[in-house]
Amino acid sequence: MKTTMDAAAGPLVLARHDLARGRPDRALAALAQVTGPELETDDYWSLRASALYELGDWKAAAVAAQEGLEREPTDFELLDVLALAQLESGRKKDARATIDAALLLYPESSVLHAHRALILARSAEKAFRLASYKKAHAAVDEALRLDPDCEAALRVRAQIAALSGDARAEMYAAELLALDPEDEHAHLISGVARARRGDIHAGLDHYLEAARLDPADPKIAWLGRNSRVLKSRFAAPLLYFERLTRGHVRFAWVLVMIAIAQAHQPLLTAAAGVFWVYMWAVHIYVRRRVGKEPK
Amino acid sequence: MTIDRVDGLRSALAVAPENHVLRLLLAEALMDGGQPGEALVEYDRLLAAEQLDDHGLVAGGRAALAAGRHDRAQAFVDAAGAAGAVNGISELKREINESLGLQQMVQVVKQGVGEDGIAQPPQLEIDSKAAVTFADVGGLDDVKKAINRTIILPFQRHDLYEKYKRGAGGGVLLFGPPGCGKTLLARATAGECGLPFSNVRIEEILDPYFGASEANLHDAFVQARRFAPCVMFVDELDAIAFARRKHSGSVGRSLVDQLLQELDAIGADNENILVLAATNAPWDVDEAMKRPGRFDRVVFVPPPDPAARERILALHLSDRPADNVDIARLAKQTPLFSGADLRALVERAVDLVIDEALERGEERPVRTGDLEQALKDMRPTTLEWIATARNYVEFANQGGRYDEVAAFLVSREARS
Repeated sequence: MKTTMDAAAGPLVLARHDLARGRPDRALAALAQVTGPELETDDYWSLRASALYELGDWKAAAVAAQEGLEREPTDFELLDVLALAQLESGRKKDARATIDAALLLYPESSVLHAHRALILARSAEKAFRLASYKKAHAAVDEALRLDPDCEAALRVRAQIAALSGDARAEMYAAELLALDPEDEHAHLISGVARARRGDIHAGLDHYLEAARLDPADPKIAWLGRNSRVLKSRFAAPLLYFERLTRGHVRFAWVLVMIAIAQAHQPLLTAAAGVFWVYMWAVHIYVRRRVGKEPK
Repeated sequence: MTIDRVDGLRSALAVAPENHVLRLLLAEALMDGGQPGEALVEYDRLLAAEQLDDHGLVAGGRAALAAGRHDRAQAFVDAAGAAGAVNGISELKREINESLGLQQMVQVVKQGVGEDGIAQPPQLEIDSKAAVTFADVGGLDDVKKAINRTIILPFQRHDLYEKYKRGAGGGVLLFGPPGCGKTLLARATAGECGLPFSNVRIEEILDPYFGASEANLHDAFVQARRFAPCVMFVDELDAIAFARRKHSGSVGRSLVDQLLQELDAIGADNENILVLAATNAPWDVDEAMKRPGRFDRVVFVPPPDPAARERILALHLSDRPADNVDIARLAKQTPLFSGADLRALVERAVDLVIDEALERGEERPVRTGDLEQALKDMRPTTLEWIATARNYVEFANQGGRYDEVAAFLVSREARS
């Protein structure tokens, strides 16, 4: 039976529906219709914070989450969104504090443990990167201990592995793809892992697949476009060089230059010069064809 | 003679009240004798006893109609539907619709709470024979031609299409940037077909209670079937038939399943319902919706071309004081502007004139300069859609689904 409250439940229901189907813009439009006492509910602020977070408006998402937490300080979703929004907006310390506070309230939540792992990995300082990654791995292991099928934890595990250059990143991404072969983010992680190993072609294929699956995301589309250009014949020698050096072109290039300087071989020096020009040409060509990376 | 027959049959029935053949003969005799009200009583008894065949159900429906009892006529149609009867049912439905006089608004039942305090499912809004026609839609000539060929003709030349076993109705999906007239075009299509138009909105379908959204969707279709032939319009199809792959929840997915079931039912036993849908995001519509028998006809509604923009601008300026506005020049200056953008442009220009009138105390008509001044601060709202569409054409057009969009994107307007 409907009560008078349900009259205002319409926009909230619609917003939740839009958010679930991946349309945060529509969710926000629906939330704009909410009036009266519903504006004071944590449900409203939770939906608003999530929609803003999905749209990439991190600061507004954090503000909305805080507004909601003023009304309901123990709301799980609000704490989670606040921590992630703080992380994305560069407030890494705040993010760690928020997620730790959330875990005090919900110590058995695998999702919170997974997000703590992500925050630890993403907020790693250069000097202490290894220690941070270790802590992140421990947090994600805890998440998977609590729920071995937790999708968020599986995803974060693959992300951390890709971030930290862990050779298992590809395997973790493959596990995600086994769960959902049309998971664009798993394709991206797989692409990063492959590219890091120097298998650029396979990495680019994964980026292209991610772009095919979600062309609406401007960043993924840009990556796809980049990949398509890099797969052209013009860039083939560079990709081959990447493969030869297992993805360490710059490092290998320095070694080659030192060796050439030591050998005093004019032909080799000229060849190295030509290749150097070619690498820049590829860089400029790609930039001209694809444009700047969208913000 | 008939009166004698009626009396004789009544006497016989008094002796054998369970003789359904006699009762049927009595009902027919009463109809022949011009007493549809009494005939309906007999048909109702036979209906309650489930003793009516296809012919009897149609005859009962006609008796109800003749007696002015549309509710009872509909009951006979429903019973025929439940019994799987086919013969003559379409004609009966048409007679009911005609009798109801669908030229005016037939029924507008809003969502509400019943007498017993229990929420009633939202009812479908059956509009009048949509008053809008293609003449009211500026431009889009190619789209109109395509719609005429694939949608309207099957309704207007029903005999021809029936001869070739090509039924009318089915599903048509209109897609394109926002504000470019998809909803108006759908309404105009209904108007051209001369059919009642019903609008299904996500706000009316969604319900927080488990299974209620699906039930609401089903009710909407049931009601549309009752008024067939009609046009059912689903605005923002992507909100109801969202891509299940992208949906993070499990509960909402059954809504898509329900819509699929309803669409499949149309092909099976609900001819003459045209389901028109519109969306800004065809890529967010579940793939299963686009298979044959569902929304198998997909029509791209692009932003208006210069000629269409001229007509739209002229339309918006027609009832406002304007002084020799160079509409052709403005149309050239507004590539990719949607109909809604052009309306906003005119309104902004009008605001400028009103501001000036308030300042100087002198009223003057809108001029070309005002519109050009307003245009300086405006950009077409279709650009974001075009950028997304470009990505889909580039990366997700393997099946040629967005070929029309691709052709538009290489046009001079889109590249400008």
